[in-house]
Amino acid sequence: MRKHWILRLVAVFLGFTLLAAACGNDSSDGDAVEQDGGDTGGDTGGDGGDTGGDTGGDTGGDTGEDGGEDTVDLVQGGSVLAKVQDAGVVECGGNDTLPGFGIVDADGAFSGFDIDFCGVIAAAVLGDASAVNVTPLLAAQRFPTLQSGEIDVLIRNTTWTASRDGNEQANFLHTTFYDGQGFMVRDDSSIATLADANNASICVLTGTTTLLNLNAVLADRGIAFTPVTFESNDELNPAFQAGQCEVWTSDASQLAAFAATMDIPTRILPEIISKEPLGPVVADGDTQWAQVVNWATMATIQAWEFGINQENLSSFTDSEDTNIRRFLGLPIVDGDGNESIAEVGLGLPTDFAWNIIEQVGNYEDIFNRNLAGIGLTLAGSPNDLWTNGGLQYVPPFR
Amino acid sequence: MTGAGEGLSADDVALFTARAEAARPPSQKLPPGQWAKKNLFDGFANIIFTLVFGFAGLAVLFFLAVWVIDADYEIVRRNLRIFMIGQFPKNELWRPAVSLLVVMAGVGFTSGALARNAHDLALEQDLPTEKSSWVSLIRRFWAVIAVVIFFVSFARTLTPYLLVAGAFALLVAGRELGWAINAAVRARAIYIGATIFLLSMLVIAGTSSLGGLSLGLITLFWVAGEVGRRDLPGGVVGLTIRWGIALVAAIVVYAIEVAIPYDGFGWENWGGLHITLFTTVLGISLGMPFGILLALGRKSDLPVMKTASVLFIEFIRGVPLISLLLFSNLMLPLFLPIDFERPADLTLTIVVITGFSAAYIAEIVRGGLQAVPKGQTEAAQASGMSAGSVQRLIVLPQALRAVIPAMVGQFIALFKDTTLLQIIGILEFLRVTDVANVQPDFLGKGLAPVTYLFVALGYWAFAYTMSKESRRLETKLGVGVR
Amino acid sequence: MHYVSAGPGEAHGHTTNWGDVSMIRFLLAVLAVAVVLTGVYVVGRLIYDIVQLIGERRRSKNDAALPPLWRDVKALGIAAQIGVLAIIVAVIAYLRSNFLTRAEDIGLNLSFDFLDQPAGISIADNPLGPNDTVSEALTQGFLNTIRVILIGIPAALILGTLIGIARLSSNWVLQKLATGYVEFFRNIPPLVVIIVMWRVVFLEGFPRSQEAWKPLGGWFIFSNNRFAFPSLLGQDNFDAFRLILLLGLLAAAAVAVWRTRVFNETGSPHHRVLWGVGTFVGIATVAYVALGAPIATSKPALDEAGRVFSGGLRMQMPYAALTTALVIYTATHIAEIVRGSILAVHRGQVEAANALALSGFQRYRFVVLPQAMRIAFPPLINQFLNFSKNSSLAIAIGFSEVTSLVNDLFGQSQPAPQLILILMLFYLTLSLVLSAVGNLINRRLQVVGR
Repeated sequence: MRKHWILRLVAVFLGFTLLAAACGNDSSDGDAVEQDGGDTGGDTGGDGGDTGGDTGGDTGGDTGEDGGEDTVDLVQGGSVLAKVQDAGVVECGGNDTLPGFGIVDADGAFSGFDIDFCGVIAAAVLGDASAVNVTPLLAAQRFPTLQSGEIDVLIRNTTWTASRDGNEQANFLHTTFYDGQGFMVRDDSSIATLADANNASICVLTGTTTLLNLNAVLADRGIAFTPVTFESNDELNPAFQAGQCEVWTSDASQLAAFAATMDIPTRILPEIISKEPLGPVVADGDTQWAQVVNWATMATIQAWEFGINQENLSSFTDSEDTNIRRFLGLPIVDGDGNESIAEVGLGLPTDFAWNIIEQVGNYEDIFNRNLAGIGLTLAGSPNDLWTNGGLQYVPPFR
Repeated sequence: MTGAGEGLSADDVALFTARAEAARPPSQKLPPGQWAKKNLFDGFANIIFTLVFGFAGLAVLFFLAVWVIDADYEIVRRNLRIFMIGQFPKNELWRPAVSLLVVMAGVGFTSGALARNAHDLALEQDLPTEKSSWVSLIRRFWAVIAVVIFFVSFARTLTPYLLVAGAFALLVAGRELGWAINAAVRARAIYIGATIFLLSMLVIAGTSSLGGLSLGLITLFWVAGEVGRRDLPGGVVGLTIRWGIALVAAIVVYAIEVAIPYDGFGWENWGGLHITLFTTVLGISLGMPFGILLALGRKSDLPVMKTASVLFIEFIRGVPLISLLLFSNLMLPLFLPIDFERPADLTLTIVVITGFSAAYIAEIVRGGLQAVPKGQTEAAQASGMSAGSVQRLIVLPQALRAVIPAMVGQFIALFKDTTLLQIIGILEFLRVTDVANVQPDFLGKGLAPVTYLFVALGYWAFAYTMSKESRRLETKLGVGVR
Repeated sequence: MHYVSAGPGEAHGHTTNWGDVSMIRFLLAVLAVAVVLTGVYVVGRLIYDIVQLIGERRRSKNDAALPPLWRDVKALGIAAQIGVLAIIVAVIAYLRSNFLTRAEDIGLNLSFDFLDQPAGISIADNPLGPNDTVSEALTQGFLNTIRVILIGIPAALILGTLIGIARLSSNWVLQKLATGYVEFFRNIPPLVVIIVMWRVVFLEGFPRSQEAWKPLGGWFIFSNNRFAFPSLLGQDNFDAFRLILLLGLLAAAAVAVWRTRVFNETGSPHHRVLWGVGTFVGIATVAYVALGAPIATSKPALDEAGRVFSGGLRMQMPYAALTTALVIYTATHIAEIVRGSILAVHRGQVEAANALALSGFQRYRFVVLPQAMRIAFPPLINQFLNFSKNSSLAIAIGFSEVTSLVNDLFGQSQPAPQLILILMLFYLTLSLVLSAVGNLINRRLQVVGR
């Protein structure tokens, strides 16, 4: 018996030693790995930056494919543009339960404002607006999914903020929709301005910037409130209609969208407490892809500014305006009678704008197709063209 | 303490119920007057109960019926396809259709063959038996049949009706074929059934990687099964030969299949009732081998195996499925090598669900192992069998037979648990209600209760039928009665 | 002033005393120790076995009876274990290195410092503000989970037992209703029950707070924003009163034990419940009078705008919906267990009770139920565990228990791996505690019987 005891003790001791040794090795291994990883990360970042600079600077004559291949070696994991061209499809992160912006219709196809911009990118890069594969994402999944490379671009009502640009390794591009956080109440409510909402219960989505804004602004103004939080609008909407909360705060566009479908009359309060610029997002580290997505998106607005839309596009083949001809990728005859087609070196086909307008439409087409039906008007809103007093202004296409 | 003491959920108690009900004297037929007196108005308290609960029950049923009849089902009618198969591409609909027909034929064939096997066995042992009539089958499966008819009644074209009729015809034909075919084929009924299921998966997915996986698995089981029928040396050598050959064959088939490039579209677009049923079937069947291994590991005397099994089982059973699904979605891809692309959400989910059901199946199998009398093991050892053979040929068959009803219970539980896939954004049956309710035509119309009714009936019919079947199996297998 | 019953949704002070960073860090430390101890145990056992084997073979070196090493069952066992252990360690090391590489690649923060950062989350009816730390938020989530469990499990047990007994009733209507209830709710997923309960029954079924339903002279308030019930509120001398009540409870227990002993020795009827309750009520009454009404009732109130609920015991709607739905669902399983256990009590027992001329109630109370309880308890523990795990389904209706809170934290860019680890750790602890308590009671039940 006694001997067994000693044996057991020795065994346990030995086990401990072994384990300690193993752990010791483990942690030093771990350190080494971390260091290596750090180096790799730094290098890659540098390369990525370089690549971006090069491509932007001197690829004037390069075709899209060349641009793609050039960057394959330089950017870790390959360039997204080359990947998209290779796969023949744009992987787009979207929404499937946000009226007007991203829903699934009865045919099982995605539709909506955000989804159309996925189509814009596909039309620009691949010449086929239907070559899109939409992955519906929950709010919490957005950035991890973007980082993992599972999606090429995220267009899902995502607000551009500094911390997201920084901490989430995301690259926010041209704003497709200027929104702001507003408040909605029932028409018969006693609340006329935000100050009346003291002690009210307020319905709000979690995992969004909305809740953060709400907390900050109402605390500043000394307004007490009870937050009633929800995962998604299709849970919040019935709760508001049933009167579970008196106030619904969200992006003003969404409030208008839901209000249009409600049986009960509602009012939007005068206060807009935040800036919510929504637009496409790509992962950090691939400047070329970011430019492609950016210019494809902006082409819809440029077309609108030129007055080119889906219906009248074909009439522009004879346009005399050099800017329009250059924009649409039509041959330009110079003083010597030589025909040439403008090439801006973005890695996009020369007729990308034509494809976008033909297959998806200009900004106004997209807006009216998806958002007019849910009660939003373009004219006079922040999303109107700068020439009409709105905020939509894009750099020149030349 | 009995086996029940180890806590196998309600299933153990169900055994007692089955036993006690079997022992009850048959109820006598009373004339209506006496019956009412005995069952409704026997004493003051009973009269009160009858009146109060009778009235309340009738009121609830009445209002429910009025609402169900009055409701506007347009939302279901328009979205029927999404409810059934999610966002499957419209021009590829022949795939799920063919897949459904194949699966139904397979189910018919396998069930027919298994029923005939049981029938023959009973005849051999002079037990009373007869072929189940179609009338009795309809009575057993009325809920599923009714719900399928209810569902298909929302169809706006003829195709779904034809499809369901065709599927039913193939089911009948398959069953008759399975019943009539010769014994050698019938002995392989399970393999044939699994093969047909995997083939249907190939049809519906149609990518080379998934195809390779399914064909590889088919080869693995067929070869292992066929080699196992030959006389092999016992023990480790035999096992090695058997699974070695099977594995090599499977890898060869997989390699050939993957080398042929053709492109379907994986399972990213799957959804609706299809994904719910598919995930359940795959989760249970993939979890089964791991579950059995874990159960044996937990019973083992070897501390490494025992500790590892116990840790795995208790960890999985101690946390909610949601946390595991969050893990699969947010963390599992982080464990893959850096140059690996992130797999589809469904792939990640199935990995986790396999582990999840393995842990629960392990506990069920452990209960079955405990129910095998020790004398069986001892007798086998006394006749000179190796430890492996004792487990494989004597203990496991008896244990597994005893836990079939509990396994059906686990199947039902997993079927209901698949609703959680919506938390990670997969368009399973229940989440289709969310999608349908935000379509412009239905937004804010208060139609959500209609969609919930539709979905709840679907879940109910399958789960109810399966739980009835599991209770029938219990009585039939005489589990707990011996 | 004190709340006598600080129930669910009750806004009481911060519970920083036990719920700090320390709780989460403590759990993490326990986990680390457990992992190390398991490793030590496994490796130690293996080494012990090897040493034993070597010793055995050395002692009997010349003994021909011993099989060769490759046929020795013990040696084979050790070899297999070393093989399995090596595979496990290799797989874990491989996954770990993959994980570290990937974490580095996407810049994942793997430290636990985020626990002390502001969470940016607020919860209804909870003092938690957006500037409170992540660990504070998690703690409030844990507490909300525990609130669901503490109310839900007893409720499910009571409802389930009643339904289970009703299923065996001789009354046809009652029996059919109970059967219908069980067969319906048992076969639909709990998530469907929860969502329907929330969106259809609770949101549509109750008026909004501006038109709240106030039955019984306003002592109860029902609206789809809150439920409010009367509660008790401590006044002066409340602490002393609470102490006396505790002592009264002990005295009652002592009296009950004494009566039991008298019964065992003399056989005269014990009436221990009557005696015990009498003692407690007596002490409580005397103390209440002597201390000058130390508690008062608190009537719930709602301001004119229908916004601010005050007084009484208030319950928020998602909490009520979640708990009700889970109770309805779990009760079906408990009913089946209760019914099966009652049926499993041997018929001879019932017949013997009949022969002793016990009444129907006595037969149930003294013969059937005690035995059925013994059979029912182990599977009941499983149902309690299922209940606590199912409470995580709150994520679908936005009640801020721990799982949906963790999900919110993902949305605020808090690191997923650590949060998932903490979440799992919390449920593991909960499961362990629940099954430990259950097994303790179970052992007691079984020992008393045999």
